[in-house]
Amino acid sequence: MDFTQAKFVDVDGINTRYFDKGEGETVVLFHGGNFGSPHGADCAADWNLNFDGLSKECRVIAVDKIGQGYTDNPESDSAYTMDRVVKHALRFLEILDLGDCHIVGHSRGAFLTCRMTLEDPSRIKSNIMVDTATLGPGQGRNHIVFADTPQPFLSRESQRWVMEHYSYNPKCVTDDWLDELMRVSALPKYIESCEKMEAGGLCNTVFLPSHGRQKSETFDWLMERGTGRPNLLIWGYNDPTATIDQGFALFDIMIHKEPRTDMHVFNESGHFSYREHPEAFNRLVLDYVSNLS
Amino acid sequence: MALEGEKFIDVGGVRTRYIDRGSGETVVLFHGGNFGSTGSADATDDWGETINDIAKWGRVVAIDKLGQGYTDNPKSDDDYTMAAVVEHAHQTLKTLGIDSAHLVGHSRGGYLTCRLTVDYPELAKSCVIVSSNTCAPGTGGNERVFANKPSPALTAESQRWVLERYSYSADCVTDEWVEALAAIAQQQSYAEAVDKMTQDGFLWTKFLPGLQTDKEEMFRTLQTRGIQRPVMQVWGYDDPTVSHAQAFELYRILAEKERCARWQILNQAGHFCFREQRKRFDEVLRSFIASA
Repeated sequence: MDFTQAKFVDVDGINTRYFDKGEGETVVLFHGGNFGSPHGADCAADWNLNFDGLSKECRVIAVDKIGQGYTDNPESDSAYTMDRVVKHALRFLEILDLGDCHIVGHSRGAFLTCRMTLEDPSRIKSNIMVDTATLGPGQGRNHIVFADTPQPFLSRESQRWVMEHYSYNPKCVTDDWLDELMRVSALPKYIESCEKMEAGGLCNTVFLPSHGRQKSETFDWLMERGTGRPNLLIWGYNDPTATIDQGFALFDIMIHKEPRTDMHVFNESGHFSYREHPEAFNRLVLDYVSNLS
Repeated sequence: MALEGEKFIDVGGVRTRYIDRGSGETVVLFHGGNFGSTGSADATDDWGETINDIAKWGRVVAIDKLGQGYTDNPKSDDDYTMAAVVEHAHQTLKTLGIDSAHLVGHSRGGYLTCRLTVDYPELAKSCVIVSSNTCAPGTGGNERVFANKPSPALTAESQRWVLERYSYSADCVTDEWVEALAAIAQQQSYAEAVDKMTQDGFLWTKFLPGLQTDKEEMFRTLQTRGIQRPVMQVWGYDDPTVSHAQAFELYRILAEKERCARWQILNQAGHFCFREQRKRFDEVLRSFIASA
């Protein structure tokens, strides 16, 4: 994944970075994490072990979610919500005029793709969700796993520690990935979002409550009507934060109204199952996508 | 009723029916059930369209296991065991000149592929275990699900009832399949195997106790040395005979020592998940083999 090949598009005033490569079925990747996270500066680079491989057989787009990576922060304090993230992502598909796309979301990004599919499936062909405690019922274990995150936060060593503790095999935490996370966390706008979320308290007063309300509504919708699109859940057996049991519980909810739902488990894999098994993950997704087309 | 392209080969005096079609990576299919079963007369016919699907991208070899389908019964009473089934499968592959292949087994055939992989790792490029409580620790649901099956046993009607009970939807139980299994059960040799297993009691004196011992031995190897080959469990969410807990327990054991251990859950699929989610099964199998 060549970070110099980034493109930018204006999404309702939010300058949005994305990468776009290859031809064929459109696969859009949404990374995890959230703006102003003091632990890791997740962005489109999370997919750097998968992007080029996928682009050989499809058109793959990896986008920085609002307030993350090189994409602008939300326009106001009251927009530091999950709802704003969803609206931005849906508008991104619209402005790029992407149709019939397969959306892949990781962690918080899987909550996003599920929510996008529920809110406006018109441009969405399938919804692939990877390792997500944000969408899975119950609580993730992040507060336990990351209780002792080394300080100063967002230093290279601290981000490496976080990503390694998410992982089964620390080797999937590569230097080129960390380089990009470090570039992102040094951006003035990232520092500003951290100040807003942590010192400014937006995480606890705005972001988490907005997510909590949406999550409960999301389960209502999944039990009432389902996504209306085929779903694939992919899970790392050893994910320390979004546990496999949470995956099974989510599967039970997903299939309630959408029978076209499957689940696939990778072994020796933590939270970033696509980084731990990049080739097998790509193969699985490409075959899934081509079978639906 | 002949299967398209069926052939026979002599395997140490046991006439063995098989299919060998297509080209590319060799995928060997082993069906479920056992000789002399009074529930259903499982055979290569169980695989249905899966054989045609694989033949489009690989070489598919499907074998009637010892004493099932149109393969001869065990030659001696001592061979009414799972160990003899494993050895017959091994010898069949040798006789066919297959040195190394992707082994795919369903139900009791899932135990067979796992066991072959453990005993003869050089034979297995990868191992796929489909809906198998025989391969998993704990108790399957068969006794409960098939209590009060219609008698007389093994008629088309009775077998249809059994196959439907196994399934999420009766749609996958086609007339063609039921008739094929009914014809198999009507053979004199099948009736003989039923007598051996039930009247002579081999099911309780040889087959099940032997299987239990063999399984314990296999789990010991899986937990100490590991399977040492890429392995995937494919499991139908609605299989009434293999619970989620059982499938999870098998996965735990496989994953303990094998990095490339994967688990695919197919929704709206009972025991014959490859029949009920045909397209998804084919895609996942192909995908797994491509990256194995």
